[in-house]
Amino acid sequence: MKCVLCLVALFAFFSNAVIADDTTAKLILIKEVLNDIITEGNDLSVQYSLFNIGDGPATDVELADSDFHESEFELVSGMTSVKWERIGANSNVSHVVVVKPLKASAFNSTSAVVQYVASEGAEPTFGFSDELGELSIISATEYKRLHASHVWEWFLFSVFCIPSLLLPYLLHFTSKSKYNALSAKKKH
Amino acid sequence: MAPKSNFSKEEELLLQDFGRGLSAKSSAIFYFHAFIVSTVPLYLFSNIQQMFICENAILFGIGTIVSMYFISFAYKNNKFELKHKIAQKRGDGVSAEIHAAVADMDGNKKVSKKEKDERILWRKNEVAEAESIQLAVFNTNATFLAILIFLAFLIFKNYAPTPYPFRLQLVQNIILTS
Repeated sequence: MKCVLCLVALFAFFSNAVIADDTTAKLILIKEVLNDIITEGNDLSVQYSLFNIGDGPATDVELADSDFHESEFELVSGMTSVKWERIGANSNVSHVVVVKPLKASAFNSTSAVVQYVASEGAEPTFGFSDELGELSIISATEYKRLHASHVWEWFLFSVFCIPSLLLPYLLHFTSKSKYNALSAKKKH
Repeated sequence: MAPKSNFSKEEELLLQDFGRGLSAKSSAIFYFHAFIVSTVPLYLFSNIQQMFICENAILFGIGTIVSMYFISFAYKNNKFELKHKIAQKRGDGVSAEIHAAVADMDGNKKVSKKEKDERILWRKNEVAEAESIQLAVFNTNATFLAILIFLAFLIFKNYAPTPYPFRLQLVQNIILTS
């Protein structure tokens, strides 16, 4: 009985030891658009965040996003294909890409892809980010119509209204004041 | 054969002065102001609502002409109502002006009471005509622009396909019935 118990304890010790050496990385990729409004001709910022929630470091990490074709987007800053040599366990990295939409239309955003080596000697692992779905890119005209302050336009409009409003009123007021004064003078 | 008018010359003059008819000068003033107030909001529609004038020229042209017609109609109605009220208020002032003018004239030439009263009546009509035109233009323009801005840029801001004609017609109907 004692011998059996010793054997069981030894087995448990070594199995735990084996598990403690087997560390793997697990990456989560989050893709998000930082803009509230996406407008043709204005910068669009997309942030990619990689979180390593595994026990071990992720090596040879490659991030790629094929969403932003040259025909529809102009790359302003950042790269759509990025490499990191190592992302440690329980750490994270982020990368921002800034592009400029060239057309106003509905845009279907797909997942970005990350490839990494989860543990030493292992085959590359692939992961996908969340899909943003259909994004609406509004035209510059529509953006100006909805969101510009138009202070200058209202100021100029008020100046243009002077001949229609101020002048007739001033003429009427001048005549009214004149005859009211004459009337008051007559009464005295 | 055309029927003869039953009114005397004085009565016809009175009808002309106190009727709804407009002189050529008054009509010209009204149409000029109606044109200005109809075209000024186009600046807002083109720069704020992004309805460019080149693309919407026909729409704006028709809207401006229709708007001019209804606004000048509103001017005419408003002026007719205001003229009587203003004439009553200016009575004392005009009398004082005529009396002062007569007193300044050559002392040998006496002016009869009847002539003085005629002058007062004529001058009162002239002053009331001018002031009622100015005040009618101001009131109608202010009402039109206030309602247009309220409807076009607050209530029906995102009306499709184009916000321009619907709002304009609504505004004009409101002014016409006022």
